[in-house]
Order: sequence, then structure tokens, then C-alpha cells
Amino acid sequence: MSQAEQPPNQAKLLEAMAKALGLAARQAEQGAQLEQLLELCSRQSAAIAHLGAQSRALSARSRDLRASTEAVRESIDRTRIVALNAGLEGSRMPEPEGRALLTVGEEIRNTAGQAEGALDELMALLSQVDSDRQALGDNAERASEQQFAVTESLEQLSRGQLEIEQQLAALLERLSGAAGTDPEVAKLAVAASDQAQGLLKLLNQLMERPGARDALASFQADLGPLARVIAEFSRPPNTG
Amino acid sequence: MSGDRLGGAVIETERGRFFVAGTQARFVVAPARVTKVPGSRLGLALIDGRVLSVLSLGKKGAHMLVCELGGQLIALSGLTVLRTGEIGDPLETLDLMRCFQVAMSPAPPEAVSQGPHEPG
Repeated sequence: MSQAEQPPNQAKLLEAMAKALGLAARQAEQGAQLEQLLELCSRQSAAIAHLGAQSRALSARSRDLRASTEAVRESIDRTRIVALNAGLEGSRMPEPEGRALLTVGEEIRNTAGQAEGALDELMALLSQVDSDRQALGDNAERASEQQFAVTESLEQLSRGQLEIEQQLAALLERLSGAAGTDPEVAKLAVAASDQAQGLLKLLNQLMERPGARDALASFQADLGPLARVIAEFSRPPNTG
Repeated sequence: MSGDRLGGAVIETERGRFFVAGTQARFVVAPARVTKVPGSRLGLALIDGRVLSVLSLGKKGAHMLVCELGGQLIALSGLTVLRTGEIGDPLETLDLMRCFQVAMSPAPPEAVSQGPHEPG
């Protein structure tokens, strides 16, 4: 029995099966896309975690650097004291030794002052770096939290997707049982039915035009096999 | 040193800047730990391997200035030495003897305009 001769319920069942099959195909495609997204999320999470670890390492290095600058500041302070004492000694000593010592002391004191200025600039830069690193760490933490939320949502979607696929498979099985037809056959049958309806409409329109028969005669090579296939489907099924 | 420029140190205290003559100022050290002496405004500190009396001119300062007063070394605390050598700027000279006398007197330090502080 061809689809055209099947009872209306059977045709509807076949149509429903075809739709369910289409849905299942789309669901499978979306499932694959979700898997890809989850994989991407996983890689992004790892990158963000790495960023957080680097930020913490940078913080430790910053502390070391700060400790080093403190040692430099102590050295500068000691140097300044040496220069001040050279000035005191120079002021007590007679010329020309006193003058030389005063000059050296003054020069050392100026150099120590310049070194301290440079150190202050370095400390200010270090504070800026610390501040930037802190902001980077905070951003990495926020990104990590957001990434976690996105991953969780995607996993929920994936689970939902799986459930839908399973339900669709169960539905197809039930439809297949009810229609007594393989789902793939149902899909092809519905597609063939749609095409046949289109062809029928076009042929009817053509037959209304004068000279249509002559025109169709040139397509006999194509239409002949079609007519034979339709005749084949029109035969009652062999019940054996 | 020669000329009308004075040799010595310029110090900064809570009460302003003063000049300490080179004849009194001996050397500058980093602040040392000062031990209070009960019943006295003077403190004691181990400086350069010697135990010296400490006369406090304030609570904050980057240095201690060891001075010679009557043949004895005494350390001044609560100050920062700004410059040493020939000082051309006109500055009030710190009257070290008077500070020492005030520190040794029973009068409260607040009553004296240029007196010492309690050792910190």
C-alpha cells in the first residue's frame, strides 16, 4: 500500500515520525556543538587558573623586590651618615685636607640623595605594579567565577540535550511501533509524498495549457520510469 | 676651617633647625636603642662600643648626633642631621650646655623653651 492509499492516521504517524527524525538530527548537531563549547570552556578555565597562578607568583616577586629595595635604602642611609661624618671631620681638619674631605663628603651626600630619589621612584612604580597585579588577580578571579557559571549552564544544557535525545528516540520507537514502519522509511516516504504532490500540481497546471501533451512527450524518457514506479507502489502488497 | 663660615652640623628637631658647632659635634650615627634611666631625663645607649648618655630633643629623627660637652661624649636623639661641614646660613646655635642643664634640673621639660624631651 502506497502512502497515498494509507489511512489518514497512518500518514499522520509517518509525518510525525519524519518530523521527529528531523528534530533528532538537529538535536544531535546541537549536542555536538555543546560538546565543543564545553571543551572550549574547559580550556579557558585552565587558562584563567594559569593566569591566577602567575598573578600570585608576580605578587611574591614583588614582595622580594620590595625587601631588596629596603636593603638598598638602608645602604643609602649608611652612606649618608658616612658623608655627614666626613663633613664633620673635614670642618675640623686644617686646609687643604679638610677642604678635600668636605668636597668628597658633599659629593657622596648628593649622590646618596639622588639614589634615594631614584629609589622613591622605583617604589612608586612598584606600588603601581602591585596595584595593577591586584586588579589583574581580581579580574582573573571574577573571570574564573563567570567561567564556572557558564560551564555549569552548559553542562545543564548538555544534560537537557541528552534527555531530549533519549525522549525523541523513545518517541520514534513508539511511532515506529504504531506505524509498523522503519523511521528512515517514514522519512523518505514523507519526502517522496511532498515531492509527488508538487509534481502533481505542476502537471495539472501544464495540462491546462494548449500543446501540453506534445511538450510532455519529449520528457517521456524521464516520466516513463516514474509512472512505472508509481504503478509498482499502487499494487496491493504481496501477502505471500 | 677658614673664613666667616662656620664648621659644624645643621640639625632638624621638632622645634626647628639649629646649628651645632664643629667644636662640639663629633660624629653622626643611626638611631640606637635608648634605655630610660629612672629619675632622670637622660637615657643611656650603646653607641660605637661605648655607653653614652642620651639627651632627647624630640621623638622622631633619622640620626643621633654624638657631641662633646665638658670633655664627655653625649648623644643627642630626636633629630635629623641635614648638613655638615661649612655652614653659611644664619641659624640659631643649639645651646648644648643649657639643654644638658635643663635635662638635669627637676623642672618639667614643657616649661623650658629649648629644653630636652624625655628619652623615648
